[in-house]
Amino acid sequence: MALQPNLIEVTVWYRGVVEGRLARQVTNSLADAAQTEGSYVQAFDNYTDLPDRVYVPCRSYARICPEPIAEPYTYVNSNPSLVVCTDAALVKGCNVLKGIDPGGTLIVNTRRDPEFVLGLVKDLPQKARLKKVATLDAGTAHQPNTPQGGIEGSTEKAGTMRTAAALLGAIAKVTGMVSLETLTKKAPAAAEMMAHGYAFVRELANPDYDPNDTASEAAEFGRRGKVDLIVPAPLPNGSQEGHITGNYRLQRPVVDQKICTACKICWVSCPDACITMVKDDEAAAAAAAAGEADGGLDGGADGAVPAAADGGGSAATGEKVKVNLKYCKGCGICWNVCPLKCIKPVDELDFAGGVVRITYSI
Amino acid sequence: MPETIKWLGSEAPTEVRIEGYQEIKNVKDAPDVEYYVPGHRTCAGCGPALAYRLTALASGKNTIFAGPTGCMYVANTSYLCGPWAVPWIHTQITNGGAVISGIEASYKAMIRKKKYDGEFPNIICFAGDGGSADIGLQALSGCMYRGHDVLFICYDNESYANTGIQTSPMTPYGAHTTFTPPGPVVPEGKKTFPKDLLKMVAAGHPAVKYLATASIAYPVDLMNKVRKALAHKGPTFMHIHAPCPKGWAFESSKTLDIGKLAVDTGMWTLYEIVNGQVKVNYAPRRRKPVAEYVQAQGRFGHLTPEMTERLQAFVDSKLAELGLLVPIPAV
Ligand SMILES: Cc1ncc(C[n+]2csc(CCOP(=O)(O)OP(=O)(O)O)c2C)c(N)n1
Ligand code: SF4
Ligand SMILES: [Mg+2]
Repeated sequence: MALQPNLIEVTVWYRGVVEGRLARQVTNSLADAAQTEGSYVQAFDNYTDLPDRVYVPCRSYARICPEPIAEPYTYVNSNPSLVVCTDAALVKGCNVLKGIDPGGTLIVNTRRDPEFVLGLVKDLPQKARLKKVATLDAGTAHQPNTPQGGIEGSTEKAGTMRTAAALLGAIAKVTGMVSLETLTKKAPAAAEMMAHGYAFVRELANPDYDPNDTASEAAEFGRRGKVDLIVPAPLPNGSQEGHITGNYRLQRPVVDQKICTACKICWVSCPDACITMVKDDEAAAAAAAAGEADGGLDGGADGAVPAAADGGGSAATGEKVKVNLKYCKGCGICWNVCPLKCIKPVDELDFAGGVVRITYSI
Repeated sequence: MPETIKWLGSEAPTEVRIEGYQEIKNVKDAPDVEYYVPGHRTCAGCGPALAYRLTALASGKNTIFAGPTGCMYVANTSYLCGPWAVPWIHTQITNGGAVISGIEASYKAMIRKKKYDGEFPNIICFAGDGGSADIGLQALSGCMYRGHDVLFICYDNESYANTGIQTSPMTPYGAHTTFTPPGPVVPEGKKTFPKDLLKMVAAGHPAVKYLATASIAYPVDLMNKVRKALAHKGPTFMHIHAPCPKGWAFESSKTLDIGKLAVDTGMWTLYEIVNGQVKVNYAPRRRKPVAEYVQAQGRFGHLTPEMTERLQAFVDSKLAELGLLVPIPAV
């Protein structure tokens, strides 16, 4: 619970750089509309998420309160009652429900249905506090070719916003925290998209919602405050466990091992050293390790992943290339440079497992 | 191939060999022990991160990195940890050159005093363009001038990227950055043409006998140059072209394409200066027009044909200086 009972905190999760403007447009417009309706408001970015980097999960915030806001300004929203995600892979990669207020709502920009999103949070203890899930296909939000100079703090243009407008319409419909009329009055040019979001958002009550839940909150806050200040240096050919990057990924490289000639072009081109070549003498060991080499943090429970895609390598099965899915950011360099085009991007959400649940400690 | 490089006063280019360096023949022959490992907060598709990884692959275990403030410090060390499996030290953005000078001098002193009898390490400063060509220039110059046995690498993402893409002296003419937004008063964005960093280091520092430009799009060439630079006793310098998806506004999968396009258009040239003699490593047989490079990046999205022409003229004159008068086929 927020210190101030009437304070509404809104957290928008987004992909660094490519969705920064979109996320800030949502938080700023929301705060702006709420202020017009007479509330006290704040809109701000998460300080530790900046400078943002391409595809890194980041957060933008709004606060709305009928009385002056007394909650300390610490660059974070600790207890959001509304969480918005600009894509569904964020729900898979991060604990977006962390700190959520009892009775909270999750709205996700995705073409998939709310049941699917609910499935993505089934492992989280906070699920008992989540009252409602809603999804909306608000269009692709990525703007890779827009100059990002000055992105920090910038928003979309109110007149041309599309995805943000649809999400705002959906927020008005699902939560009623601001009215569609006020939003529309503030940005008349975006009225059509707002109305679209309002009309087409799909809602689902969470069957696991427990209004009397206290256990999940206790479990969450009981363990607060411990940050490991010393993370060991990695070993050669190892990885840095202190910052796992698999949740940057929207699409996963899947290698067609039959076509692959082990030319190593993808290996040499990966900025994140996420591709390893399977050596013949490794075959036996790799086959044995295939189970735990799933790449996700959920320890190999990735039943739906085809053998070739799950990162477990084996020369016995003709495997030549291994992708480290725990760290792969899905930048797409490998599927772009492969001379035989035998690496294909596949939507991360098409894989049941490989959940890299990263909770930011700082 | 160039005939006379006037600004260096050198004669015809000759093959100058560096003794004791282990050549990497092709990608398959490349070393495969990673010393710059997964687990860093650089952008998806970050060119400088790839440059770092390739450098670390080539330099190997016996290496000490110094990292001036910039993306390759901040993004790599977010969350109280770093991805290097070799020693690494943060330096101020201004003093990378001074810090590696100190490390080198102290190794020499320890050897003289018989307190260290191991192998002399590869000491590498991995600095951004800001940390080399601009705010870090005096430390770079001092280090190169004094003749320390170190390698100074400038990874060039053509802006002060970490702080949100501000212009640097390496930012090309016409680029949109936070400090050079195109508008009614200055329609081209960045008005000035970049410094020539390699030329500056080469021309003004007699102790430097090996300098090279490289690009992440030519990884074997890059790794060999790192090895050559490290094999040479004395100060060496490398300038690596490293496309930055955030700052240049292109899709993260296109990092190597942009790097290649830079070389194909002449926006970047791969060459070495060994003992004062220039050797161009790769000259495209047919050059692509600069317009192609410009169109592939959002940071140039506002350029008019006249502005692109100015950029083309600049590139033509730079290439002429290197003796590279490769024609651009008419479209
Ligand atoms: C003396 C000083 N001035 C300013 C800064 C702020 N600062 C931190 S990183 C950075 C950008 C560095 O640019 P560059 O060296 O090109 O590296 P990049 O971030 O582009 O990789 C700046 C200006 C600083 N750390 N120290
Ligand atoms: S801003 Fe550029 S240099 Fe910095 S992490 Fe991103 S791609 Fe790399
Ligand atoms: Mg830079």
